[in-house]
Amino acid sequence: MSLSREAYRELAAVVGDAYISEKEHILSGNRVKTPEIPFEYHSADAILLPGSTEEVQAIVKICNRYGISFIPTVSGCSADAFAKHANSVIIHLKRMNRIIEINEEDRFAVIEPGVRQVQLYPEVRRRGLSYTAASVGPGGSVLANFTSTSGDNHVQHGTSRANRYLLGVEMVLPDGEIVRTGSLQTGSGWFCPDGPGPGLRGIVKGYFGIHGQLGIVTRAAIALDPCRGPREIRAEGVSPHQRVYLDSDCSKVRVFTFNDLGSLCDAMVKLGEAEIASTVQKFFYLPMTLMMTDSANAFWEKWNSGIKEEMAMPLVVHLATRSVEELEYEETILGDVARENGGVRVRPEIESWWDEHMDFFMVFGVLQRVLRLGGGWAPIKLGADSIRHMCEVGESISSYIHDYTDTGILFDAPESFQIVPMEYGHSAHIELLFMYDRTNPSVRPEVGKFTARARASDIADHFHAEMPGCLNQTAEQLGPLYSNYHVWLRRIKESFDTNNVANPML
Amino acid sequence: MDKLKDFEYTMDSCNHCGQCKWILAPKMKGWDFAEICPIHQRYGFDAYSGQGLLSIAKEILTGKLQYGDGLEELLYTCTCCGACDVNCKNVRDMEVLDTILALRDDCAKNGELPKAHRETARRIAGTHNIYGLPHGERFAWMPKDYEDDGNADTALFIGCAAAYKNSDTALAAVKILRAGGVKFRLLREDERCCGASLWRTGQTEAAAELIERNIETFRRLGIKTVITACAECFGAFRSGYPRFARTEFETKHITEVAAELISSGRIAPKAFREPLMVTYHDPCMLGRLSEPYVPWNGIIRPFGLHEPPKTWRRGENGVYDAPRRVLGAIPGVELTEMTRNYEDSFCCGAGGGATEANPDFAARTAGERRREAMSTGAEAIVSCCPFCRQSLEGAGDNPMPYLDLTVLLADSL
Amino acid sequence: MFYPESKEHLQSIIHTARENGTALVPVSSGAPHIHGASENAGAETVCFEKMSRILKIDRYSRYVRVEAGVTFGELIPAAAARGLRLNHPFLPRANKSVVASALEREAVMAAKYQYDYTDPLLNVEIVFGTGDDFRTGSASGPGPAEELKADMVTPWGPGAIDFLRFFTGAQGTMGFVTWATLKAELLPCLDRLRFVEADEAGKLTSLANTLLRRRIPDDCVILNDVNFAAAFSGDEAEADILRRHLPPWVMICRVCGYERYPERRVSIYQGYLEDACREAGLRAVPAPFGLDGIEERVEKLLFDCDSRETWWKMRRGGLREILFLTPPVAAPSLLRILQHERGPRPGSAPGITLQPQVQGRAFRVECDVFYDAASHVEARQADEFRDAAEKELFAKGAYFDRPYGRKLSDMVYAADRTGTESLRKLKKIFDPDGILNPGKLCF
Repeated sequence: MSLSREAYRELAAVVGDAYISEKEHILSGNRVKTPEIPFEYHSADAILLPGSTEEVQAIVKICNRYGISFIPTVSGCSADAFAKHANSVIIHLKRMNRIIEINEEDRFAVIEPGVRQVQLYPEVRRRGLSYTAASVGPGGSVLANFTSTSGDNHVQHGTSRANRYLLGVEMVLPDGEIVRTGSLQTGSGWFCPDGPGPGLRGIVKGYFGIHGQLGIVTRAAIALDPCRGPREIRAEGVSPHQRVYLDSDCSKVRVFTFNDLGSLCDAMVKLGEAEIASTVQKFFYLPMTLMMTDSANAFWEKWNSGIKEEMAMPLVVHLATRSVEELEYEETILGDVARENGGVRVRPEIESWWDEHMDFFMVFGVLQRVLRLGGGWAPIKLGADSIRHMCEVGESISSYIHDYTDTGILFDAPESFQIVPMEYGHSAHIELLFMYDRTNPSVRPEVGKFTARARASDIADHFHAEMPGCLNQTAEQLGPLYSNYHVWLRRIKESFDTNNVANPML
Repeated sequence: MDKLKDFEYTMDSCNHCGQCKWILAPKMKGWDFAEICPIHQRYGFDAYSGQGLLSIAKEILTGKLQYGDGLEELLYTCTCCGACDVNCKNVRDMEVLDTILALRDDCAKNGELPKAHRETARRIAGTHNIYGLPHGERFAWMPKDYEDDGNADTALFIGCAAAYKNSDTALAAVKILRAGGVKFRLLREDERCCGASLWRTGQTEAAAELIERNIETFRRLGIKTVITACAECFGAFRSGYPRFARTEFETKHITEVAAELISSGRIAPKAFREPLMVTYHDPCMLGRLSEPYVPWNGIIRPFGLHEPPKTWRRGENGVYDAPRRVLGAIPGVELTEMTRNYEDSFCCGAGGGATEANPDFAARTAGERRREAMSTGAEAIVSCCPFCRQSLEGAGDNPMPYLDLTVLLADSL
Repeated sequence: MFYPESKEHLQSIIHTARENGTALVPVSSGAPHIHGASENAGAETVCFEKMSRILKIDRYSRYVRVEAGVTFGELIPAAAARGLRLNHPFLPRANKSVVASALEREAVMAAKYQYDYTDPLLNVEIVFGTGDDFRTGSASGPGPAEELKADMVTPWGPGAIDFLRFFTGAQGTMGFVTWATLKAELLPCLDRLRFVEADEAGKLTSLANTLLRRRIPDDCVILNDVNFAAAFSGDEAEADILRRHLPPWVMICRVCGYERYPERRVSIYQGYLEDACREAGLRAVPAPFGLDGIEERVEKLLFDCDSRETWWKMRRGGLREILFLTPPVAAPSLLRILQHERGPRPGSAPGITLQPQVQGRAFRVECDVFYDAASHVEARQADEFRDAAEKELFAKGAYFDRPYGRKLSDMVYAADRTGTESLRKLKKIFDPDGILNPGKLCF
């Protein structure tokens, strides 16, 4: 099905002929399903590349007039970036890629959606600043990471997830009106996301983002923190074996293993109390082994060499301080905490690998390596609460996962979950990342049973292990268990998107 | 030669991470010069990218998509520079470029091959060069009194571009080898086009015939080592020929030979001009795409295990350092690097037949590369491929002096 | 006046109010209600003083959970008994509701611990104007609150909406909160107070920006001489004497050590503090102004609530507050407006507190206009001063994120029609009959 000719002409008049297409081979680039998604998508009927907020606004108004669904995207690396219904257009925000401002004094950057991690990160770093960068890879949209994805990152021990750092936002609402949130609303600049009075910022992103269901963010300010380490990133070597160099005088990596999750939990809590370390995380050993190797074959060799048993309960700590004295202080505390809780340093080969690759976390690029084994994967239990509770959730996984790992339905890595504290241990998020053989059609239904079982277990135990997401079927199922949030979300959606054109879900 | 179906694993593995479009994180320098895919930078739609071409390949394979309506134009605008391939292989076990080449092979059989490429094939068939110029004039640049090292088992392969368009490169290569005391011969009437223009545009049957003929020529003449000053020929010999037949010769680029000669003291460049700051452009076929191709016909087990183990070509062992050592040895020449260098070098625009199929795009891409070169403060851009030369010397935005490295070195001797 | 004793009781009050079309105004704290109930004539007051249980103090995960009526006077010592401290405003009233303070996004003293403007508030249970109850973030589920195993300490969601942000700064117009979870921090084992004097506020705001971006001070507040004297004196006379010894501006900061190697930590961070001061041409001293005993007095009061008979801001009986946020760079120019605002000032000069927020990304400016409550003239002067200052500040970019009063609200919400309409849409969803604190903000 294609758009009506009148609608197409109006849309083309907005962006220009070079930036709209309904040709099948162009649409193909945004409709082929990705390995982790079990269903085929609809094809969008056109893809548009607007170049400004005004063009986005005009497009949205046309969509309202003609009842065309629109789906905003930048990198297309999300299940929600594809069309789900006929009579849809993808609004690809690639061309809106300006860094509007980097304010060093007040510590924020104002960006458009098309600015990528690999563009913004070095620009802020050379100014002695950094931001909470996602592990999504160099091509990930920074703005999308702050407004649509989870916004978790691996160096959030002393910082937090992206929610805390999203400031003023300019957004085209589903009806085509432009709204500005927080201090931007009264012309006071970008610095504050909340108010005046109640915060409209709440409709931009909750635990996850709304993926365009309540509008399209066209500009956003993100808060910046001072970075510790060199302002220019020095790298040597050629892909895939580059090394990135940090300041060794004030930087140290230590990796410990613990006998059990309870001890590791106590260690993380204590490190948070001491307010030390830039990175503290119980990392997941399956992605870790993938990151340490450069091919699936090399992964298998290492995996079968005993690393699985050795690294089931690893705690990775990166100390990054401003002075040698402070580094010594932090290292002393780290040693004490580890010792008190039975933590043992891993062998040098492993620890030195982490030392040489902390850039993975600061310079991003973790996620794609995780997919090296062929693409059948899914993260579940993407919840957050106290370290204690996240470890409680982690402990419970073993009660049902072995039914699937021992039988080969899932890759045999039952402890492959990570717990990443934030805000110096005030809370943490958990993620269980499992893999399955996507080439085996009989596995897929079993994977569905596993995720259902995992969820049922959390519900039965009243564990906050998973946070429901956008307005979709899952929201309708889980909503009654979560304060009927789906009812309120639906009412907000109906109020702001009366024509239901903003990325309507299945 | 692998077929499209052979790459279904790659097509099904792509999760749109975008690594095929953006510079590798350790190389990032800022907002500008962060895109590595020329077609994605120019056109913006995701279909114009390694990821997009994988999606197209998948839908062609399943029959959901048909050729026509501009698909061929997209496919042949891609310069096959391999930046997407190398970047993807930084994190994944996928064969993006080979899928694109297989798609071209499929298109040549089932779609509408661009007229310009059909014309190139006709020329090669008729005159053994891509220009359709008389075969007898291929070595017209040679001095009348030139004599070969008769039975040398090393051949200097000139290539169509150097022979017919940039003879100074040919002469320079000869001078360097002579100066270094390297015994070599020219193939003269036995030299035919390397076949890169056929192979890389998907005209694999014609390519196979030419390649097999060339391999037989080398064998017949007892050639064990082929030296060339053309990056395209170099890349073809290393990474293309083994796809078609077993090769028994070693390939070296003139810069590799020159670097060896310099380090052994057999040649010593001298200052011969005013001090000059230059930046070096890594040709795709000399750099990331030049690793030897190792055929693999195995099985991909669950969770990516390749049986037997596969030799991955990720661009790590391309020829990057030798040209830089040569530049460094020329007194008065100072090198400054572009952001997109080494394995993430930005294509000159000429690769994969793009100059013929979409000259405006190729020129624009060259202009973008020159813009990057100028941003370094360099006074000239240096490279060692005649196709890069023609592209970067061509008309368009950001004109900048281009120096051929082979000529530069020869002039310093 | 209603005194709900439970969530269910509150729900029945709201249901009845809906049926009768009765407006309801929430009161969590004891008097004075500077911004609150008295402005909504005809409404019934819902007072939460009977919902005053401390539900949980968790040392391990460092949080507290309290009902809406719990005051600072109750919670600060209770937390201290468990080795914890609250991140609370500068010298709040002892009878001030902790939950109300957090909901109003009142500025807190340890900006180092504050990651955004809603921090330290984590989660709430709220009853909407529909009578439905709701819990935010990780308190939302799965299941009833009493069965949840989570500590309920992450504020985002549930789902793709950040509901908590709809309820902060809302003055109860979206719903009435029954309990809240808030962050708590460790009580220090060792601390060092330091004072930095300056003749211009800009020198101190710049210093605070430097210090907090490096997360150096554990607590930090800047006061002008008027507010410093008022806060740390017992009465007006004593304040007048103290003020004569004070520089125009004082920054108070504290560097702390905790359970592990506290001396080392204090030494390192004190060194950083001194370095930063030196870079700024200032000095951080332990005993300022040549006044004996001032540091003990400050230490005693600073990390507690004001339990004195009269709250330090109310000694003259009348108070008008001008409250706005500003990023560091703009702070000095906006302060000049306050200091040079023409027009009658009732009695004494205004007191100004500059509270760094969110790791130094902004300052909460609190300008306190004190007046004799018995004097109509002074009351009018106070209003005029406030109105004129707010108008000029707004025009110059001050951000009134908590617009109290009709005039200020009207001015603020007129600035962006679409934003205001959007807030009204939310209001319609959570309070369709408009019974919750009507007439406030833009509702």
